Amino acid sequence: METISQFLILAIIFCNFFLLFSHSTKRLVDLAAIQGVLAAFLPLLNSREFFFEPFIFALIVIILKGFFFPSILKKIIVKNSAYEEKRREYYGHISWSMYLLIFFVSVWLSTRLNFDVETSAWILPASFMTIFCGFLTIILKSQTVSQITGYIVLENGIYCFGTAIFIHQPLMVEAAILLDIFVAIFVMGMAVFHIGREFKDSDSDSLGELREVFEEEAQK
Amino acid sequence: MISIIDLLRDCSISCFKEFSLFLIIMPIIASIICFLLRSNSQKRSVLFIAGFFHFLVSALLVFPQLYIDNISISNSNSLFISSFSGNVENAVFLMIVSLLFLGASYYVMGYLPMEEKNIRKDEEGFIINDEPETVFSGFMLLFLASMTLVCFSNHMGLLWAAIEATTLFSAPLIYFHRSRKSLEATWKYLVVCSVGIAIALLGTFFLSIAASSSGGSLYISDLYSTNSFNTLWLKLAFIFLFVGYGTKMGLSPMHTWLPDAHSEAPSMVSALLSGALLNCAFLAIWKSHLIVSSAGLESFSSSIMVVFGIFTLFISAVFIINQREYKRALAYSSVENMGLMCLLLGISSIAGYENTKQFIFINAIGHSLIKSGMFFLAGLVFFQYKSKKFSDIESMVEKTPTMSAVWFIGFILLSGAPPSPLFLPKFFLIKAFLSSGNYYTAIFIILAFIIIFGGLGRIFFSTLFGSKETEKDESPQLKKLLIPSQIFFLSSMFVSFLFLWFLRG
Amino acid sequence: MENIKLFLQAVIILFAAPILPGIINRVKAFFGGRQGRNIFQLYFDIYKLFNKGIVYSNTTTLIFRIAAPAMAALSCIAALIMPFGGQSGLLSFSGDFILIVYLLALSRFLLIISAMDTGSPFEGMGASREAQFAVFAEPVFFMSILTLSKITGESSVHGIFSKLSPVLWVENAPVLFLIVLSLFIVMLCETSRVPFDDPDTHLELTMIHEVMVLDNSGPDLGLIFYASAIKLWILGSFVSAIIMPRHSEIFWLDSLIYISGLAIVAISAGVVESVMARVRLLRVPQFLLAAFSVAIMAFVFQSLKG
Repeated sequence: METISQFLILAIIFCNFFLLFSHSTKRLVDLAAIQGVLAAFLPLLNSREFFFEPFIFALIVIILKGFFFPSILKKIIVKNSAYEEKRREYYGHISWSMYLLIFFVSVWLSTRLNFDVETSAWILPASFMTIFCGFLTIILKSQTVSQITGYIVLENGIYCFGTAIFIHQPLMVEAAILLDIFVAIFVMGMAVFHIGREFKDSDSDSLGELREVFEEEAQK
Repeated sequence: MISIIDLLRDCSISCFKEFSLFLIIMPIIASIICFLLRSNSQKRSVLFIAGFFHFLVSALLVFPQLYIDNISISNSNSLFISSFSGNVENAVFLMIVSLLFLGASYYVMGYLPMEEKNIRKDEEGFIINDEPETVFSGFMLLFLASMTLVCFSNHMGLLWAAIEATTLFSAPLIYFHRSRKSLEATWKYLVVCSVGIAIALLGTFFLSIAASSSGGSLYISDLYSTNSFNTLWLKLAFIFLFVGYGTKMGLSPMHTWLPDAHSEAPSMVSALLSGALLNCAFLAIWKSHLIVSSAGLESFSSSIMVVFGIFTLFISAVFIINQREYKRALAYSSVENMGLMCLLLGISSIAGYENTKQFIFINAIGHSLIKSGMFFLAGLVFFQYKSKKFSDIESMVEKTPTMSAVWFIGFILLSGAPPSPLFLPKFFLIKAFLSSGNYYTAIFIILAFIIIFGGLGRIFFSTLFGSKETEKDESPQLKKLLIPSQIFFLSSMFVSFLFLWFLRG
Repeated sequence: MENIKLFLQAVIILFAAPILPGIINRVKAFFGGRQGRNIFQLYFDIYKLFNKGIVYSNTTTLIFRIAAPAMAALSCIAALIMPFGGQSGLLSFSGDFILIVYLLALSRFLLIISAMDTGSPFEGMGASREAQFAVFAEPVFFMSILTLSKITGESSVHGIFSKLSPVLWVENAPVLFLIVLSLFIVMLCETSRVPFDDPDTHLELTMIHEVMVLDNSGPDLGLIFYASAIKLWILGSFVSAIIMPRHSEIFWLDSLIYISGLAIVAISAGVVESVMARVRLLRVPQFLLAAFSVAIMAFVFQSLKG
């Protein structure tokens, strides 16, 4: 049991890793979906007794995160022709160094927290890493669809953390998170759809009009 | 006379739960009705009626209970609070939400028909088409329901869910005038606030871990009475909760969504956002602070809040100086007031919690009333002068005298000159800092207030007077729509006098 | 009897090494639908080269003349340290993996300076690339071996190999998986396989290892081929020891498992070569840094567990 959950956690960490290095928005969406499905299996390994509810719940999560969200996001990608991220110069080095930094910070945080986890000691670093990688994705990527994907990854990380912490009553918590993502993705997807219609591309660099304008710029 | 009050009081206590459910569910049903109705005027009337009944029932619920001091009804293990005793902040914020919504719905009834008749063009020459009013009224009511839910929740998880709901329901409202800028503002609002709420969710988890020795329950009443908190996790929880809800509240450096969202949204939505939503986020922070203080870590949370409060004041002072658009300036003034409230809560450990609480209340009430009045006015100014930049507006005194009078009074009240309720909290704050020996902080804060006054004054004075010869151009419709702002300003002055009388007696 | 076994296994290593490149080429040919070269083609090539004469360029010095034989000698010494079939190698002591790494590094150094000695710009370019890859690849190797020794508690290669067993896999599967991944990537890099370098390319601008030996001829070239085959054997046996842990005490069975493990490693290297394309040159350091993060993750996770 523990080995399987360790492999799952490893796979989640690898998803994070590839998240930082991908350039194609479709691949980002797929990675977030894979990560969500993997994270859905984690609570199943927690439960000692076999009730129906964890299985049904895991099924709902897999359907939502594995099929529903990716299909919405991919439709938006096609509609807005948002296939490629901008390849910036510093990309590879910043991604790698930030990844290592995230890794060390997550491990350090987990060792400081002194928390007895029943599944495996790796789940805390993995969940922190996922959260930080979600943040980085939102900040570093230029397409708005990628920013939504970053939000999904962030919530995946919180989901993993919830799995680690709430051994006794995971379902309420996970249901809350799931509902949150569901509605949030809906609204964000709607927004990005409108963005694609208004602006010709869905690059968030074009969303730069509203900002503080200072005197020198205004007088140009 | 007294027996009627007693009757009302007993009624409101015993039927508290039913009334609170009514206050939450009625707007939801009204929004469903709005989604089903056809004509726009019907939707607006539904909005107004719902707002009116909401205000009535909230007043019925809140006012009789304000004089009760010591009724202890156990609150534990229920998602909603069972009475306002011990939860006075919930009551005050509920009243603010209700009153503001009433004003906004009255404003909507007059403003939207005016907009329908006058089609405007934006800067690039595209015709601005508004979004369907179904979406608008429906989501306004859902927004009201979620804010009411925040005021009634007794469980940190429910609080979190309600605040997330307010984010999601207010996003379509910001996108009302379908333009590029408002779309951009909506996107920023969504992303920043959703990430903030996700951080707050983590904070809620940490709180549950911190309380794990007593079962890990997140019912607020339980958390007040828990004795054994895991200190490290509690501190971490407070930091995450503060940062997360602070993003929603508009504290720096997380305030970046605020100027954009509040300036691009239509004025009634801006009024609600500034006056009601920020207060609800502050309520969440307040609850977390109370939980942390009940565990004895008051100095920790207070110091964090003081630091962030001062930083917010600094940022708002810096950015308000060079604003070009009056709505953005009003938004930065909201940031300043939120920083002020956070700072007040922070110094409550030095200056005494009971004292400071009153000043926080007066600040919240005053700010909400004045700011929403100002935003209503700003909408009318925009309608009349067709520009968001104040450099395009001149000689308001000649063109629209009544409106300019209200505009000027609003500015005086907003900047905190003495008949305004915003004067007393600032005075109290400076007094507290001086008496505790933090002279430099007090000087810094006074400087910030002066700079903000200067920044706002530059805007308002330049719009009022001018050299161009214009003639009077005020329609009676416009004057009718000035009524909510006038009422709000008058009531804010009234509240301020009431507060003074209360302080003395 | 023991000494004869030790001597026998040294002879087997030294003679069996050239089969591995043959296996890789055969796998590539299979993926291409061809029959491909003979498995023993490298033997024939080396034999052919030994029977040819040497041509030394006028610009080269003594370094160029001694580099190739020295490389072969160093590789053979490193090979003698490698355990075979559960037995220790001829040389075995605590910390001997550091000696292996440095022997291979010395041979790489000799190759680099001999390439620069020729004065050809192509070879200099290949030398600089080789040096750059070595900088990134060595920490990965060290990190993986450190983690391995942390898991098994031993500090010599023979000790590590003997402690590896299916039981250890059951306990430490994810960490061992990560170590296998990083060691495999290091093996591909050091032996100039795809995705770091295409050994079949004939364009000098895209060569890394092959371009350094453009000026070698005759027996020198044969020795260099031989040395690289031995390097493949050494690095491959690390991977095979982890994926095919053996623990019966029978010499012949263990040897058979060991050799088949090496064959599996060679086959997988061939598969990777057929399936992937070469990574852009600028991306290679990032790739190796990715392998480094994998190795670090393995190390930290092992410490978290223990």
